[in-house]
Amino acid sequence: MSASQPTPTTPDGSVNPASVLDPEGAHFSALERVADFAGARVLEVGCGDGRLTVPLAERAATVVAFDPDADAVDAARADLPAELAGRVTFAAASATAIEIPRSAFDIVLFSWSL
Amino acid sequence: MHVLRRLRETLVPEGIVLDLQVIRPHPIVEVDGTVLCEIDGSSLFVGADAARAAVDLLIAEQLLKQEAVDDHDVRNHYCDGVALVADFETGGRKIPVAAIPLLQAVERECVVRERCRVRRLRRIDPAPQGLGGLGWTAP
Repeated sequence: MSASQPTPTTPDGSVNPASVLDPEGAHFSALERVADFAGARVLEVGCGDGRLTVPLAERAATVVAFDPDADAVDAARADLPAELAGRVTFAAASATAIEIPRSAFDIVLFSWSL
Repeated sequence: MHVLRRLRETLVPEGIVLDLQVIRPHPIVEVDGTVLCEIDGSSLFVGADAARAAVDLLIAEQLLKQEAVDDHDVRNHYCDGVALVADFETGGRKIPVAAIPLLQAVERECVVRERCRVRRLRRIDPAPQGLGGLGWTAP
C-alpha cells in the first residue's frame, strides 16, 4: 500500500470519523495481486470518497472515477493530492447514465458497485 | 442493459474488469483478537450474489473470461464499542441485539473483519463472422 491515508468509511457507504476502514490496505493489495495498474487507463465505478482512487492514480496513467453520491465525490476531489490532480477526473453520476466513450479504458474497477 | 454489459463496452479489446465484492461468511467483531460476535451481513450478500450472477452470465456468453480470484480479509477499526454500535445503527448490516450491551461496554479498539473477493475478468469478443463463414470464398 502506498502512503495514502485511509479515510473513515465503511463498505456500505456510511461515514464514521470514529472508524477507519482497512488501514492495512488489504483491498488495494488484493487488487495489485490480480492486476497491474502501471500506465493503465482506469475507470473506477463507485469510487465513493476516493479511498482507492488515490493509490490507483499513483500507479495508473489516468483514472476516471465516478459515484452517484455527489457529497462523496466532493470529498474525494478535496482529498486528492495536488500532484495527482492531472491524472484523475471525478464525476458525480450513476453507472447507468454516465456517458463514457467506447474502448477507452484498459481496466474497469467495480468497487462494490455491480 | 445491465451496467456490467454497458461498461464492458468502455474497455479496449482484452481489457480487464475487476469486481470487488463482500463474500460470506458473515463479518465478525474482534477485540484483542478474540471474536465477540457475528454481524448479519445478509443485506450486502444480496447485492454481491446479484453481481456474481451478472458476471457469470457474461462469462457464459463468452463476453468475459475469468482469469484470477483473490479472497482476502478486510478490517474496519473502531475506536471503541460505542462507535461500532453507532455505525451499525444505519445501513443493512445488523449487530445481534443481545451483543449490543457487551459491545457498548468495550472501551478499547474493536475490529470488524469481513471477507472480500476480487475477480479479474478479461473482455473477450466473438470472432467476427466473415464471408468465409457463409461458405463464400474470394475468387
